[in-house]
Amino acid sequence: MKYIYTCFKCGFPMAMDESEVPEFCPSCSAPKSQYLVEPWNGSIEKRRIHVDPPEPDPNWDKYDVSYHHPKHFPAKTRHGRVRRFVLEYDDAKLTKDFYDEVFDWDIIPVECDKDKEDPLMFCATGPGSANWEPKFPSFGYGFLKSRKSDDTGKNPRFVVEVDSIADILSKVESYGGKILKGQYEYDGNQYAVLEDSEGNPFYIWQTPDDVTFEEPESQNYYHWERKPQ
Amino acid sequence: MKPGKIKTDRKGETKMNTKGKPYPNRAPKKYPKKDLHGRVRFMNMTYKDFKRYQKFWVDLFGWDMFELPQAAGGKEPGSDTPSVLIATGPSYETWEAVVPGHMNAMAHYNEDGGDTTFMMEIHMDEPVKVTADNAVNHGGSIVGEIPEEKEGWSTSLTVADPNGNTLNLWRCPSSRTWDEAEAGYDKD
Repeated sequence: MKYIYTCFKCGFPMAMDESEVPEFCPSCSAPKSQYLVEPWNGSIEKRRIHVDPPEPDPNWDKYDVSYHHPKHFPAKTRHGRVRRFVLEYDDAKLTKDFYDEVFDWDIIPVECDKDKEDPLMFCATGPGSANWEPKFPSFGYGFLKSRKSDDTGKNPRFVVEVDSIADILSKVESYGGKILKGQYEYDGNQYAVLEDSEGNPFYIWQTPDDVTFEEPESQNYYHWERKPQ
Repeated sequence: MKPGKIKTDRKGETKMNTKGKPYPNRAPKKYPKKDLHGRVRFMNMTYKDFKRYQKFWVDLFGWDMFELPQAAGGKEPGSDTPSVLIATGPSYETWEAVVPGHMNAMAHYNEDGGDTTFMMEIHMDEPVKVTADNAVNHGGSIVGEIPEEKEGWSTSLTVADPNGNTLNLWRCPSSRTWDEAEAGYDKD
C-alpha cells in the first residue's frame, strides 16, 4: 500500500509503498519511528500532515556537521555565495547549441565580448529577472568560457562572490590555498583566481559597487510560508 | 518541438535597474511551468582532508555544512570522510536556498582530488534516457550506464558535454509538492 510519510524531525514528506520505506530519513537521518503516516490521496499536494521545520540554533558549533538548520547568513552581504558555474569550451557554436537544445538554456555573450568569435557567454538555466539573475531560489546561472582565454590553465569551475578581494587575497595562503591570478577586471567586474586547500580552482568576484542590497538575490530573509509564487 | 519546449522570447522588455539605468540586455526567456529541466541546482566538489577543507570554506567564506544522510547516499554517521551538503548562502532546513541567485553544494572525499562538477535537474515526466539520447545527438556522450528507474525515487545519470565537461543529471522523484521555494516557475 502506498502512503505519505512525513518526518517529524525535519518535515520531509515522501510518498511510497510501505515495502520501500527507508529505515532512516533521507533528509535528516531520523529513524523510521519518527515518520508520521497518512493515506495516499492521489497527490502529494493533497497531503494533510505538515510539520513545522526546526529553528536555526544561534549557538551551533560551525564545524559540527550533524543535522541542523543552516545558519542565518548576515544581511547586506553576499560574501561566500556560489554565484556562477563556469564550463570551458573548445567550439563556441557546438557548445551553445548543445546547451540550447538539450537543456533549454538562454545564452548571450557578455557585453564586452559581443563581437568576439569565442565570447564569454552568460547562461540563464531557468526563469530570471531583467538583470539576468535567477528569479527563484536554489539554482544558478553561469558562464561558458573559451578554454583559450583561461590563462591559469587550471579550468576554474565556479565563481564565489566576496565583499573584498584584497581581504581574501591577504588570508588565502594561511589557510592552505593559493593565488593563481591576482585581482583583475573583466566586463566591468573585479575578479581573482584562487585554489582552495584541496586544489580546487575557482574565481572570486567582488560585489559590484552598484549593488544596493534591495535585489532579490541580495536578500537573506527566511520565510516559513512555502509559497514561491 | 517536444512537449514542454518553448520558443525563446527574443523581444524582451526594457526595464530599469535600481539606479534608474536600463539593463543592457533583453530579459531571459520564459520557461515552462512545473518543469525545472536544465536548471543547474548543486555543485559537487571533492576534498582530500575534511578538517582542512572545512576550515578553508567555513572560516574564509562562511559556509555551513551538514553530513549527507546515509539514506540519501551519504556515509555512516560520524565518518572522518563524510559527504556533506553545504549552504553557501541563506538556506532552508532542507538545505535548499531561500533566496535566488546562489547555488548550494555537496562535497565528497576523494584521495586523488577531482574536478568540481554540477548537478542539473532534468524533466520529471519523461525517462532519463530521453535526455541522454538528446545529449548524444548534440555532440555529448553518456558516462557509465543509464540507470534503472524506480517509482518514488530520484534517478541520476552522468553525461559529458561536447568539451568533456561532466554533467550530473538528476530526475526529481514525484515527492515534489510544488510548495518548495526551489520549485518556483514562470506562471505564464
